[in-house]
Amino acid sequence: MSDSTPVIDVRGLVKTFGATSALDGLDLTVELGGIHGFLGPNGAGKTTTLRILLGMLRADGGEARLLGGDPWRDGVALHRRLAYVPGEVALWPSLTGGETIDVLGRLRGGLDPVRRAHLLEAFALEPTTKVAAYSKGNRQKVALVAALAADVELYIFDEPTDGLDPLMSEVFRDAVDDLRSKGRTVLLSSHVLAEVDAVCDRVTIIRSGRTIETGSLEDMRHLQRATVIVETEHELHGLEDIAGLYDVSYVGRTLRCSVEPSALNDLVMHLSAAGIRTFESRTPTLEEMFLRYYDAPTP
Amino acid sequence: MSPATATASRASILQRPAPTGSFVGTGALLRLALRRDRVRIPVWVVLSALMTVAVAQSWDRLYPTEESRRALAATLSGDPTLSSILGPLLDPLSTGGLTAWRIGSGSLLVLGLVASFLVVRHSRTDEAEGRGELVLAAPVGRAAPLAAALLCAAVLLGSFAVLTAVLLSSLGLGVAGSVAFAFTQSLAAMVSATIAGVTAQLARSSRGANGLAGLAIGAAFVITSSGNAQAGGSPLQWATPYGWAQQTRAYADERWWLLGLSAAVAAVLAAVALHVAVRRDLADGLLAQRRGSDGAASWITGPVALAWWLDRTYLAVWAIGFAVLGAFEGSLLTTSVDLVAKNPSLAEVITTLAGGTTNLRDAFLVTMTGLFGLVAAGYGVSTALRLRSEEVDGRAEMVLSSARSRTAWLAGHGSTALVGSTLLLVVGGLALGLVSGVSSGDALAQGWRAMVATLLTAPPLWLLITVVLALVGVRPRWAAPVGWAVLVWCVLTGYFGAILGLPEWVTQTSPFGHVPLWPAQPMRWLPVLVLTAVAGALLAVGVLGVRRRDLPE
Repeated sequence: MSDSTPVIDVRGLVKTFGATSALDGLDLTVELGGIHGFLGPNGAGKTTTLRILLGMLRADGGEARLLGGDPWRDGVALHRRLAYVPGEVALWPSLTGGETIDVLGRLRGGLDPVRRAHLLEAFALEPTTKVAAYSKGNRQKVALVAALAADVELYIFDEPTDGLDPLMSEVFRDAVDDLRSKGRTVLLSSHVLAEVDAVCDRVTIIRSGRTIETGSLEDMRHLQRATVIVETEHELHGLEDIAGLYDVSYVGRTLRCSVEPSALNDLVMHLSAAGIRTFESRTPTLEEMFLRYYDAPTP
Repeated sequence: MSPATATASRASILQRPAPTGSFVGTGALLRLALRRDRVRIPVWVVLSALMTVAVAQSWDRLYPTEESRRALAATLSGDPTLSSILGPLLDPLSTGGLTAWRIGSGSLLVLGLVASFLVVRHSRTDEAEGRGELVLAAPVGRAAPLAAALLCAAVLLGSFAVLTAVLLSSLGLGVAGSVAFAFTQSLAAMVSATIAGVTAQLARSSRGANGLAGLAIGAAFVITSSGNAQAGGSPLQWATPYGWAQQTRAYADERWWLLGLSAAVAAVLAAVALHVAVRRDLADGLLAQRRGSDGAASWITGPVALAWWLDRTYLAVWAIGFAVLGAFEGSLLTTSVDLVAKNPSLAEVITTLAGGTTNLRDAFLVTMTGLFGLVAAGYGVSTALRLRSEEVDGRAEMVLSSARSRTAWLAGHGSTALVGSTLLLVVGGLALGLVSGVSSGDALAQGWRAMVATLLTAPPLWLLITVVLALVGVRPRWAAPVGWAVLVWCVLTGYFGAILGLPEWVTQTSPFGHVPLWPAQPMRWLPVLVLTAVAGALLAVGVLGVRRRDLPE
C-alpha cells in the first residue's frame, strides 16, 4: 500500500435492513496516520459502517475499501492488520479477563506480552477474575487491552470510553496518543465530543446514513461562525446591512452575535466606527458545531 | 481469602437478619411474568394436556378387547427400560390406569423441566442480566422476584392440572382418578420448580442454575427408576417425589395423602429458597465465585479450540449422564434377559417386536440404543444453537473481527455439537455393553457390540444437528424454534407413535425411524449412507450460508 492510498476509502455506501435505510450514500476517507473521529447521533449509521468495513455486513451499494482490500472478500487477511473494539463488548462469561485477552489476541494472530502486562497495569485490570463478575467498564477494559496490545496498522474503536471512568478515559487517550506518535491510524467513533476534540486530527460527521461534513478540526472551525461579544463606546448603527450576522442581540451597547467568516471584516469596520471598548471572539466548540449541524433540517 | 474463611462468609449469609416487607410487589411482578410468558404458558399447558388426552383416547381404539389389553400389558411390562422408568402397571384393563402409567413419567419430567427453567428465567436470569437491579431499586421486597417466579410456575402447573382433570373426566375415566393423576403430576412438577428456586440461589448464572436443577431432577428419576427395576419393589421407589407420583395409584385406590407430601416438600424448598433470597446480596450466589487463570492455555488459538474449551463442562456433565444411563441400561439388560427367558410366551412377544431375532439379548439391546440417539440430540441441538446465542449476544463479532474465517466460526460450536454428541453415543454404548457383559464374562466383546449398535443412531443425530447448522447459515432466526420443534417431533414419533396409533408413514418422517436395528436385524447400509449424505449436504448449506449472509444479522 503506497502512502497516498487512504487506509479507509468509502464511497456512496448504501445499506438497508428490510424497509429501513441505514446508510444512504455515505462517504468516509481516512488517511494514513493520525486519529480520525467518526461522529453522528444515535442511529446515524456509525456501527453499520464499521460492520461493513469489517466484512460482517455486505453493502447493498457503493464501495468500501479497507487497507487497500475488499472487506467482504478479503476479511480474514485484512483483520490480521487491524484491531477492533465494538460498541457493546460481549465476552464469554466463564473465561477470566486474562484468558479472554489471550484468546482475542491469538485469534488476531498474537499479541505483545510486554504491552499486555503494561496495559493490564495501566488500566488496573485484575486478570484472574471471571468475565461474569466484571462490571461493564471492566469488560470494556478487557476488550481495549486486547486491541491495544496488538501491533497492527489500523485500530477501530466504537464508543471506546463509554463506561470508563475519567481516569481510565485518560489512560485510553494516552494510549491513542502513543499510537499516533508511532504513525498508526485510528478510527474513533464517539459520542464524547470533548474527547474527539482533544485527540482527533480529522473528523467526519454523519447524519441519517449520509456524510454531512468531513475535514480537519481546524478547517472546520474556521468555516464555522464565530461567536462575537463586543462592548462599544457609542451607539451602533447599520448592523442590518451586514449579510452573515445571526442571533443578534444588542442591549446596553453590548453586542452578541454569531458571524459568518465572510462577514467578519464588515463587522469589524462597523465596530471600529463606533469605538470598541472590549472585544471577545471565539471559534465554536465541537459541541456547538455538532448541535448546529443536527438542528438544521434534514438535507 | 483462604478457603475456610470463604466458606464461613458464605454460610454467614444465612445468619443475616431478614428485612421487613420482603414480599412487597410480588403481585405486580407476577403480572409482569405472566405478561412476558403470555404465549409460552398457554402453549405448554394446552400441549401437555392434549398429549395426555390423546394417549387416553388411543387405548380403546387400538386395544378394544380384554385379550388385546393383557397382551399389550405383557409387551410393555416386558420392555425393561419402559417398566423401570414407568413403574408398576396396576390394572391393564383400566384405561385411566394405563394412561397414567404410560405417560406419567415422561410428562412429569417435561413439566418439571419446563417449570424449573421458567423459575430460573424469572429470577436468576433477570438478576444476572441486570434487570433485577432495576426492579429491586423500586419499592419491591427482596423476596418478591423469586416469589413471583414460583407463583408463575404454580399458575402454569395449576392450569395444567385443572384442564387435564376436566378433559380426562369428560372422557369418562373417573373423576377421582383424573383429579388424583392431574394434581399429582402438577405437585411433583412443582417440587422440580422449587428445586430450581433453590439452585437459583446457589449459582450466579442462569446456565448454572438450570444445570444444577436439571442434575437434581435427573438424579431423582434415576433413583426412582432403579427402585422400579428391582423385582418385588424397593424402598428407592419411595425416596423421591417422582416415586410418590407413581405410588399415588391414580385410578386404582388412590393414596391421596401422597399429594400432601409433595405439596409439603415443595413448600419447604420454596421457604429455603426465599430464606436465602432475602439475605444474600444482589447478583451473589451461595456457591463461592472461583478465581481463574491469568492467561489462556497455549492451545486455544482459534474458534474451534475456544468452543471446546467453553463447552468442556457441559459435555463432561452429559458424558457422565450417558455413562450412568448406559450402566443402568446394561444392568437392566442382564436382569431382564434372565427374567423373560423363564417366560416363553413373553419371550416370543419381545422377539417378534424386535423383528424376529431369536436372540433375546439383541432384541432388548436395540430397544435401548434407540433411546441414546434421541437423548444425545438434546445435547447436539442445544450446543449447535450456541452459535446463535454467540451471534445474538455479540460475541461472534469479537471472533469475526479477528483474523479467523466465518467457516472457522461455524466449525467451533458446530464441531462440539457433532463430535461431542457422537462421543456421548460411544460412552453410553460402551457403558451399556461393558456392564451387561460383566456377569457373562465377555464385557469387552459386549461393550464393542453395544457401542456399534448405539453408533448406528449417529446419522439421524447428525442430521438433526446439521438442520440447525443449515438454518444458522440461511435462516438464522428460525434455527432455535425449528431445531427444537424437529427434536420434539422425533421424540413424539419415536416414543408415542405406537401408542397414538400413528401410521407408519408419519413415524417414518423422523430420521430416527430409519435406524437399522442391528444386531436384532440384519445390517442395512442404505439408510445409514442416505442419512449421512443428507447431513453432509445440510452442513454444506450451513457453511455456504454463513459465508454469504450479514453476520451478525
